[in-house]
Amino acid sequence: MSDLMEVQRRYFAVQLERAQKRPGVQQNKIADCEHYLQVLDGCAAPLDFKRYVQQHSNMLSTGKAEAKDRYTNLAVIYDKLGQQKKAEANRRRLEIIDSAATHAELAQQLEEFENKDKLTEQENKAILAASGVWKAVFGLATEPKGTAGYQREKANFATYHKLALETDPEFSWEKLVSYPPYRDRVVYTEQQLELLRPFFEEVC
Amino acid sequence: MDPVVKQMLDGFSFSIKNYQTSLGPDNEKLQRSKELLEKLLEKAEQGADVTALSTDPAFSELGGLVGQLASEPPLPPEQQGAPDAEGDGVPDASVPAAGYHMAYRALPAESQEKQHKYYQRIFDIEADAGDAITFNTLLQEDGVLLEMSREPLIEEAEKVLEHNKKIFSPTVETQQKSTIAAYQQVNTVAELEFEGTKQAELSNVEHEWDGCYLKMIGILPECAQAIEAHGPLPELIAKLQHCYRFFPRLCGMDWDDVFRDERYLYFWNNVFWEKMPAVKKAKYRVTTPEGYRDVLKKQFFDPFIKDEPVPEKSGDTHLRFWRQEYPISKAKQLLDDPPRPEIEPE
Repeated sequence: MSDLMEVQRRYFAVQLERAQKRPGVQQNKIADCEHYLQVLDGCAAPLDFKRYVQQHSNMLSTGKAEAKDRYTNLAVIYDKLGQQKKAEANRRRLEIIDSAATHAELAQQLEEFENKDKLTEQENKAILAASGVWKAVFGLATEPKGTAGYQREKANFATYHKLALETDPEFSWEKLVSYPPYRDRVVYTEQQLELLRPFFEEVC
Repeated sequence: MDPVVKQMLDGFSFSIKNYQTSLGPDNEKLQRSKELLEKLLEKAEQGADVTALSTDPAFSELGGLVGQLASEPPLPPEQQGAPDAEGDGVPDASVPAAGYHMAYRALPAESQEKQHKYYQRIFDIEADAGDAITFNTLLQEDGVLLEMSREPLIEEAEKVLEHNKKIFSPTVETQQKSTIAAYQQVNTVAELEFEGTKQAELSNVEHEWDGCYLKMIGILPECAQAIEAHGPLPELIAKLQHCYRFFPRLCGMDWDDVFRDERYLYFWNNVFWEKMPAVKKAKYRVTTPEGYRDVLKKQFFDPFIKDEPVPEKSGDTHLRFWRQEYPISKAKQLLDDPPRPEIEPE
């Protein structure tokens, strides 16, 4: 029996050891493994541990820990890239995880959120629209006014600008050059942007 | 009893016993689950195979109910009975392994072949383990679950890298190499997921940035190529002259500077030149990308700007990449080894 207790302990110990090699990415998993190792210290036999698990939502804490690590990490990525809406969507997922009382509730509520989450879709569409606006601005700068080419770029600009405003009501030149997900995708320095700015403003 | 059927029913049986303590024997869903399990066990004893059993309405009802047991409110701890003390209370290794058997059988033949080594490893562990606790522990210690996620991703990245030898995209090259390196270093599935998303998001930005750079740096040759392809139409000449004046104001470069730019030459030599039809190369009697560059300049660029004053190269000869400024000439080096922002949860 004691052998089986040791085997059970190894189950958590090996996961803890691997997670500790990069603790930032799996903070909740580490805490969860440490918790179960402590619980095991207080158990005399596998049956004691089984009872504990049954009385505490069948290791819901492990499901929650893994989900929290996943969405915390995503929030970190999107925060760093400046994609505020996608970071916010992942923070909302963390709230859902906290509120779930059972495994089924956890899975169901996260799935429901996936289906109704508009933030991620909005951010992706806004980035796509901003990229279209950038291309049109360069097109307007490189096509002589009054030509068919200029008119084509003007129409492209109108299409993407409309889409940008639909997905990001604050969209403007200032936002285009300051919001990292829009700005990071182009090569222009401040000086170059000043040269391009009038082409944006002229058709906006 | 068919061994596959036994594994499936053992799994249901274990779940039902597992919930008996926390939900109490009077729970209606638990009672109905037991009835259905009895019915299916009887059918299995009479020789029903997997197909006959899994198409029985009782099977799907039981599957649904076992799923619902997870969301049933447990009794308060003081009302919960003692855990099932049958034997030592530890199920056979076949119970947790049943899911892997079912998942393997559900794979299409081609995927089964690719995934066989991982599943065989899991089944070998099952055979060695004996009980569920040992099986789960050995499975964690072995690391096969990480490998079955990681190796196919690395193989896919290697394929893309190989394909890129024909595409010559610096961002694809960088992305796949950095992804492979990151995947090789991870110790857990959580890290694998994190690295996968991080690398993809960084690459999305860099790929678009590179497109923007190529469009900007290549605008003069593009204007000349349009005249070569469509003839000296007034609108094309007007655009060439307009860009001849605008481009140096934007980035402080002229035609010759463009053809000294490492990133542009990587495109011109490996993509543009390689894709140029043989008939066009024969028409202009050129055998090298430099030869065609000179033809383009002499015949489709210079004649249309000869009366234009030479524009002053007043523009900023820098570029912005990952929120820092660098000399424009560094574009290719930056794409090969991008100064990516550090993204690591604290």
